[in-house]
Amino acid sequence: MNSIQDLLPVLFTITWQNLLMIGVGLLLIYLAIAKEYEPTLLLPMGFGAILVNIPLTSAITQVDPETGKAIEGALSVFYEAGIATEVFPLLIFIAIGAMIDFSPLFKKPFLLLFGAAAQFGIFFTLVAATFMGFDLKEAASIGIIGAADGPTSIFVASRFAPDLLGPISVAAYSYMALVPIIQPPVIRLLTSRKERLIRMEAQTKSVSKTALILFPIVVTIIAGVVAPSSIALIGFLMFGNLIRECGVLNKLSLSAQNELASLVTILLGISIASTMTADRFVRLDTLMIIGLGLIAFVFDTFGGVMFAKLINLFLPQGKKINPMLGACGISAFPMSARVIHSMGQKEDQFNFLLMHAVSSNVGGQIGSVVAGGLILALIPLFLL
Amino acid sequence: MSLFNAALEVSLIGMTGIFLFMFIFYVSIRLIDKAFPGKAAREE
Repeated sequence: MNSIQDLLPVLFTITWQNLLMIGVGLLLIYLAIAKEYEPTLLLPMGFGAILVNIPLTSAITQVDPETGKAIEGALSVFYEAGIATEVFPLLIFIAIGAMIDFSPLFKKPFLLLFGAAAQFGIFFTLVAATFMGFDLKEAASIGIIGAADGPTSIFVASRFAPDLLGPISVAAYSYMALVPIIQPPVIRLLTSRKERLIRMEAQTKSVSKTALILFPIVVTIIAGVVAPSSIALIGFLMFGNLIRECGVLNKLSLSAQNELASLVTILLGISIASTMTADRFVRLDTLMIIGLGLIAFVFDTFGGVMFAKLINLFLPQGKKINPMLGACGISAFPMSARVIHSMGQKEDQFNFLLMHAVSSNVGGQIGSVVAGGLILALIPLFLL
Repeated sequence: MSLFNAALEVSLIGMTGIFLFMFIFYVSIRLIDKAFPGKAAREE
């Protein structure tokens, strides 16, 4: 019997928690492949969860029981190099910046404000999380799930609550994929059919190249002056966008959008999985984080819609805004814009909200990064 | 300061800050667009 134990030690050391986490890994892989829920992140994370939950795995750093020395595992090395240092999320921001077209914002700049209102879920959840026993840093990291922006969530959580990084990332990416299921019932609950039928004027304005080049530079300088601690987040996003818009770095822009995004996403997903060990993940905290993440998304939608309704109180008849546009002030791009457009078309097939929804959604992409930067700046002030 | 009060204060300042940021960006967009209008606007 002893010889079998020596030959296959894993079979004798595996716990039910390990098996549960391997099940979680398989579930994430299933959701990624069968349901196409954020497959670029959920698949590497799912596979990584399997890798790190097999006892005696060489994928993460383990202490050799015979010598007492630490044997470094590749995933732990990736984590230390890319997540603990915040390099991977920042590289992803360059890629995202290169993918974003800010021109819809120039066509309807007012919709930028929905990108602020729809961050309400972050702060509502932050307060709710402190009620549930999390400290301020942990609560902020959980609240930022409501940014509906994976890299921002990872960036904030890796700085304030690295132990909760696994569940926060899983919640953030899962709910982003579930936007078409989460948002419509909340919007229907908050709006009347008459409001959902409001039509918006067509956007036909053209935007100059100079304006699009100046925008990322101006935003970076303003963000740097007002909140220097947000500069890494906003600056990298805007740097990526400048590469896209400058017109002389097309090759770099394409590389950032494709090769850089793909490579870093693989490393990001599998490195986060190094934190998904049974001892860190199989806890009541994880269930609470998953629940709070949903609250964050619901109250983001609430904040955006209610803000639009508030604005409508001051607008004359015929100039009113379709309040559904407030809901796509979240960062999940372009999914949220598509959801709102199709909701509008369900009510009235001649109501074309897509371009306005895209403007609001782009505002949400900026709003989520600003929210992340502000949280990074504010939380340390309250810990003194 | 209790944890709840601190969370509430962070939230209030945070939301105000985001609106302030977005308003500044909104003004910047309007100014940039006015200074460097697109083709159609120039023709008008």
